[in-house]
Amino acid sequence: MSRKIYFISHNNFAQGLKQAVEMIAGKQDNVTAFGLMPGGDPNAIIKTIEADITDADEVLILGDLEGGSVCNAAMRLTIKDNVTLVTGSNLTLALQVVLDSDPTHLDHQIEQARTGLKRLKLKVSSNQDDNFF
Amino acid sequence: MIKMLRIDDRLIHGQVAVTWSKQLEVTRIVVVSDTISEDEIQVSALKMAAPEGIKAFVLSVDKAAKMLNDPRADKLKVLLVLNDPKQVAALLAELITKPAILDIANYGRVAGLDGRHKITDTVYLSDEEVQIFKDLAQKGDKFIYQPLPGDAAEPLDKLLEG
Repeated sequence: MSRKIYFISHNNFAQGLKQAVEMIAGKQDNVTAFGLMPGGDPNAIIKTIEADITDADEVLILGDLEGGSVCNAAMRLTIKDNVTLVTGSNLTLALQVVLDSDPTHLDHQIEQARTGLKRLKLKVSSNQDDNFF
Repeated sequence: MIKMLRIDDRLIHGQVAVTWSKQLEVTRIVVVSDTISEDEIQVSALKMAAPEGIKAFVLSVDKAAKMLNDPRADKLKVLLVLNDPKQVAALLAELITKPAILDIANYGRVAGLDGRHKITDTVYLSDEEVQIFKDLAQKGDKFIYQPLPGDAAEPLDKLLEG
């Protein structure tokens, strides 16, 4: 069973997400990105994915926006047991799923990605090294 | 043990924090720099850049050598990150046990490309720095060029000849 990952989005977000993932984690041959361009047909993207997968594949689709047209179109693929769709994709989640492809870890990875969305403020403290060992 | 010494202008960033630290299963990331270790703001920001479960430290060359030469360091899995070839040479001269892998990944863009030659897409060295690496190689400290685990490791001395 091989794992196939698809990033789907409005415009070039999906391709950009793939490029950002590859900048950090190296080339990912099992990741394919599809972006819906203005005037494009979201169902055409989903048909392309459908033609690319078999029942023997373990398929993960990361979509950009719940309720957006590409994710809506992808919904019908989720009636297959081997297809999982996750929306609200970001770079944290995309990296996690390519670096650890165990599908049983997906819920934890989604949680990690969620906690990565936060305010970040530098707390300046003196340079301590007493807990090195 | 020191799993890797990496030369990287960007210090702790995605390739280091996310990819290499997982690949090498390290428990410590240590930035070694005489200047940065004195800068509280940079130190604090670097410590916050460490991934969950890994402790980050920013140490001067002498302090790092002292800590890493301590027998208790044997059981730690350490990734060293430096951004200055001179300090790399100084640290290597002080270390009793050498890092398992010496990797130059991203260097030269932050210091400035003026007077530096392109060695690879992400490494630019001055004549003086080329000499530092040639001297190190003669002493047996041979660097590879491998930005990411999936990239083929290329010996730096071959790249310097080319």
